[in-house]
Amino acid sequence: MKKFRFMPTEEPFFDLFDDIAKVLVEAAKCLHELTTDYSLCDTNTRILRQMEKSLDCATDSICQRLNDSFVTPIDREDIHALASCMDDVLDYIEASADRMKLYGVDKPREEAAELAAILIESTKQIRDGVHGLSHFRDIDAILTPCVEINKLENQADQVQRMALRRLFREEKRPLEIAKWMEIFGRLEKATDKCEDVANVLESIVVKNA
Amino acid sequence: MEHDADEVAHGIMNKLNMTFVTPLDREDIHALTCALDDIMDFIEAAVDRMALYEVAKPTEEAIKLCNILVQATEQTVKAVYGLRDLKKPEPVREACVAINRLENEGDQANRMALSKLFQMHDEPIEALKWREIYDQIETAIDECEDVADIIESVLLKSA
Repeated sequence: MKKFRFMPTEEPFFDLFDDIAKVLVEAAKCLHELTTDYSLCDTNTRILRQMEKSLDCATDSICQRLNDSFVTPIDREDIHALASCMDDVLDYIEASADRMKLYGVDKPREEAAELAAILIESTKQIRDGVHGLSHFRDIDAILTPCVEINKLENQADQVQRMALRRLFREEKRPLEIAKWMEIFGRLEKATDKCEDVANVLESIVVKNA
Repeated sequence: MEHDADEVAHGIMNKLNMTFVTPLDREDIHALTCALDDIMDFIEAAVDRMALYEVAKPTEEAIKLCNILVQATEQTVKAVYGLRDLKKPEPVREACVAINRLENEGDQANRMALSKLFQMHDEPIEALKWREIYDQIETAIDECEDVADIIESVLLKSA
């Protein structure tokens, strides 16, 4: 059985994915900055909302291109899955920041900054893994970041656990507990979404191996 | 157990990348592996939260949800085992139907549990703890349904 792969040399899809991945890294940095300097809360939540909009546009143009293209470098459904998973990462990053502002928390708890720092790492790994798609021969360039993303997700789980333990031990106001349970939950979910991106990347490798 | 499951999942992935001919589509094997691993993760998370939040003892509702989860995982085992012999899809299909039914039961049980939980006004912090624990168990049952969905799509392809 011979396998044919038709991979056009110039591929706008890969450039678009690179662009989205870069936005994710910026978003994670923006969230982290907010958790360490809470005076930036208003500014950074606004920036994150703009990023979310610009990413929606990028996702739209991927879908547009997908409808216009006859030959795609990877399966159409994978392109779609990848775009929507990456979009989810940003949604949860934005939602985490938004909830802090919305609930009017006094100041971010320490673990929020820790989780945001993990998100910076995870999004950088996404950026590298996604970039690996454009030169498909070296599958390790895609798979190694995926392994890292999985590790980071486990780390985030641990940080969230410790955060919750401390929250329930130290905080006695039920509403504050409820607010932070949700914020930590969203931060952790953002790292889960990074793992979903890794799963899509892995599945693309698996299919084309 | 969670680490064991991770190891097995990792082993499957390695095998997958080295094997040319696979019994099921490669992407289905990958999806199935991820979904099974997710069940384990949520079971572990539910138990972990109980320990973390230092709850006094499991509520009746938690036990009920766990009973449903046990049945759902038993059916999951049946469905996965049945993949060996796709010429006889009936037992696999039955297991998938059972999982879907159990997922509905899980939803219902979670709803009842929450309603009871939020009627105990005097202990809001306990309510917050249990809401999350119920949610993790219920999500574990949902993940069994994800496995059933993948297996059903494999059946469709091979029909």
